[in-house]
Amino acid sequence: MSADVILARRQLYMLPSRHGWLLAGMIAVLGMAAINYANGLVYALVFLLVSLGMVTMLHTHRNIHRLRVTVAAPPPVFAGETAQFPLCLVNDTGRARLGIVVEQAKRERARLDLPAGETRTATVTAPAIRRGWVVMPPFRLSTCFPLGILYSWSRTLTLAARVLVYPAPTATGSPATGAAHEGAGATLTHVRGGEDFVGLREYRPSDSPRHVHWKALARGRGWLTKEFGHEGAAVRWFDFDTLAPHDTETRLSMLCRDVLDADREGTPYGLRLPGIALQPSTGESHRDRCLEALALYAG
Amino acid sequence: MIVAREKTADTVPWRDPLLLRWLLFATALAAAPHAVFQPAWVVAALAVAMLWRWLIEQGRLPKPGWLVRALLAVLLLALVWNQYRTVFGRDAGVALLLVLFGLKLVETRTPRDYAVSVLLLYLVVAGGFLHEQTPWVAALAVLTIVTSLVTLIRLTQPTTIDARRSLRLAGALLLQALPLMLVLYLFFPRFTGALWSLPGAGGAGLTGMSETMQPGSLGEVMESTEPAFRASFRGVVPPPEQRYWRMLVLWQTDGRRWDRGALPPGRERLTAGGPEYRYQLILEPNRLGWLPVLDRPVETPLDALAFAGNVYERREPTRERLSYELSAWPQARDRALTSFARHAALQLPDTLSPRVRELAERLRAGRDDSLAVAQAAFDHFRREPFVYTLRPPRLGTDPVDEFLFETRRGYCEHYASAFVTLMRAAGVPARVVMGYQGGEHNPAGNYLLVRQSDAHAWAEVWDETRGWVRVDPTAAVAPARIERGSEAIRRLEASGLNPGSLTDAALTRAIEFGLFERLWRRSQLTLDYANLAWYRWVADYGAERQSKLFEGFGWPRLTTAQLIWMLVAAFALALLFTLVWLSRQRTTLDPARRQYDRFCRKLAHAGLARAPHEGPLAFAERCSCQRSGLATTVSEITRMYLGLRYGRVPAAGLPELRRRVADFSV
Repeated sequence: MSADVILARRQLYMLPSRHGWLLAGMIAVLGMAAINYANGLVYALVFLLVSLGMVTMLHTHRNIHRLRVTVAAPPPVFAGETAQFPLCLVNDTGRARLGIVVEQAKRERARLDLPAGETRTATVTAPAIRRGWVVMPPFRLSTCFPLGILYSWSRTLTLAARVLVYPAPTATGSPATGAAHEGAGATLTHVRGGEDFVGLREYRPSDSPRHVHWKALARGRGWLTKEFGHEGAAVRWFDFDTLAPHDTETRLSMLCRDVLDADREGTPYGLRLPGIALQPSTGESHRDRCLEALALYAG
Repeated sequence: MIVAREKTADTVPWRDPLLLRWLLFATALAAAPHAVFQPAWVVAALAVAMLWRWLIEQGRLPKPGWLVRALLAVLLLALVWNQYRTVFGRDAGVALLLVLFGLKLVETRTPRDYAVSVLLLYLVVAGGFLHEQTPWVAALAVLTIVTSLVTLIRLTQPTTIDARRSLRLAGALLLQALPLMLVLYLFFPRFTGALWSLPGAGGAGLTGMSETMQPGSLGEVMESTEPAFRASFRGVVPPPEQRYWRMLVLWQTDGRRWDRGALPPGRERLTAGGPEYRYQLILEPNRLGWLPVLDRPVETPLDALAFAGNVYERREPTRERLSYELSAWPQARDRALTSFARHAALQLPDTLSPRVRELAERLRAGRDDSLAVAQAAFDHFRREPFVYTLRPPRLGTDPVDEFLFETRRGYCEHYASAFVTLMRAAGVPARVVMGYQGGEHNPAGNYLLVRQSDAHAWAEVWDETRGWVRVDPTAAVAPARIERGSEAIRRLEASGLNPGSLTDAALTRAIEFGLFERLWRRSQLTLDYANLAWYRWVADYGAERQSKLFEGFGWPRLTTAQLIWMLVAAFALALLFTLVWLSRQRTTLDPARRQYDRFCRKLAHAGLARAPHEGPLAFAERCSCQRSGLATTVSEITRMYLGLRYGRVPAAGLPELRRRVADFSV
């Protein structure tokens, strides 16, 4: 399984559509009339319709053949939401591909027109019921272009993509939140992440573009990153074990809510799960690390 | 929230606002030929339906309910019944198809309705072909098919592709289908005989000569320059004086009117001999079932019935073009004259005037050979001041007498009638033959074009040793009529000259064409040839012509199985050709885009692969972040590419981009 498929001839099928069968019936009727009346022009009409069907076959095939399908990194979701897999259809040819349909579970999800050399996206969805990984559901591509008399479809495709599903956050955080400051006083050292400017350092590729010191870059001083932090702020620890009376999933959901709340407030926080401890910090990447730990917790 | 915003393609509404227009346009084109073939009310009903559907689309009329539609269907069925007394067969069937198609059009709403309407249009087109297989009907059909294809394209793909591009696509589909169609058309085995037979049509408005002859009856026909038939010869074309096409033999006269008499069907036995002319005759529709054949025929054409005088009649009038192949033996000999036929060939009206009898006696006197008598009568016409004219004075109750002794002005039928009467009065068996004389040679197709104006009447007399001998008394008066054709006579008459009074050179000068006239005639002949070729390859292309075509390729006597194998092979070849042609015109990407792709490949090689969803700018930013060393080059190349591809400034910097990409290395 890969994240990138080019529709090859062997992955494509074709049959007449409903309209196509109607046309075939009409051709049969006209054929009988041609033979019966020995009418040259009716013969010609019959043969023209047959030939048009043949040519349309080539056109319909060409419309979908060698279409490249990839999936972009899907964003994580919370349990109970819908996982969305952004599907990219890439038309590498110098010819437009029109009326490409993305089908999922035999239902039309999207209908795309791809101009020459362009890329369009559609979404394949899957319900995210439980935390953990949700793999991309199978889908297929099809087209009826240009005449709608032939229906060409691809084999069912499964791309290597998965969405991380975080636990669904509870409405309120853990009841222990108010008393969760144990050990807080010990951390007066500066904690990375936060709102106060601490200083500049060399740029690292993983740094958020938001923190790049663009003015310095514009002045030709090279790539620098602004560091932010908390000086002596209260640090909160969220601990799986303190939520003892609840079951595992509820505890994870509560912790999820805590993490989201703390992240919104900008308070530095740490997370303790059995066997895992994430040191207190702030910021998007810290939050995502915490949520990922919750999502994948296998205790 | 965390879920990134995502541009999802909306599911498009299936309807193109112009779809109905295309369908109505196609309908109008498909129905156009029927305006000629069908009663006016049928076409009017369809037009009303089209208008109705249009007004529904505009929201100015409500959609009819099922009850209204059902009532209308019954009403239309009754109207068709009232017109034709049947709903089957070609004419009634097509009329029914047209009106019910109108009804279908009114309720056309869903994509399925549209598709079915388009398919029914093909049936309407085929209905037109059953009426007439002329080039103009075919041309309208091609237009109908193109518009119907546009309708199907717009139905399948309502967005992105505009009307003009749909039209171009439809045209391309048609052009690509043509070679395949030709292969199928030529190779598909044709059958003879109908699967079922249905009542055909009433032949109205057919022209041509009638079955009887009386003074002035041919004049009307001779006014028309419409083609009567065409005959193409294998090899030599007979000289003008042998171009006698017999159609009818008239035995019986009441002094004024000639008709076929009461001779029973049955062929006259001939002994073939001398040179043979093999020809194919393509007969235009006319109101008779008689078939013109070149003098003298030995076999019977088609399914016709032979009558005394080597003439042939089919049971039905020739409503559609007809073709048959036959041989002519100008020197064929008759074997014997039955007493019944001899009696018929000597019949005379009771009212024969004494003057005519006396003249006949004079011609007979001293001659016992019937051909000598005929020669004497022939000489009589030449000697006496007879005038050949297409505008003779009107004749009274005894036309033969008046013509021979008073007016002495007339054309072929007057001469033939008088001549045969004289012969019979002199005791020589004789008969009138009606048909055509002459024919214009078309060098483009090596065939003779015989027009209605070439209609002619001549005589045949019985000679005990030679059998029936053709004597054309018209030739005594106006040899130009025979040698130069009716067209020459017409031209002479128009300039007020008399063909009998001119020398040969003067005649030639008088009927010589001017430059423009020559060019005009030339183009007319070419057009006529195209017409003939069309007929041969379309209406007349059946089992016989098919096998002849392959004989021409050197494959005589193909079986149906062989033909089907050849069809499959040729079709596969043509399909392969189309496939190759279609895939050849594939990748013509924008040149700037090609350079950019090359640039991306280089970056990908260095571990900076561009994700498909990543735009060039975002990609450039990411590259700059990840490899700050490349930042300037990457952003410059990206800017150049975007400028070339999307910028307002035209692509002046393409070579520059190419150079930069070529120099670029990670």
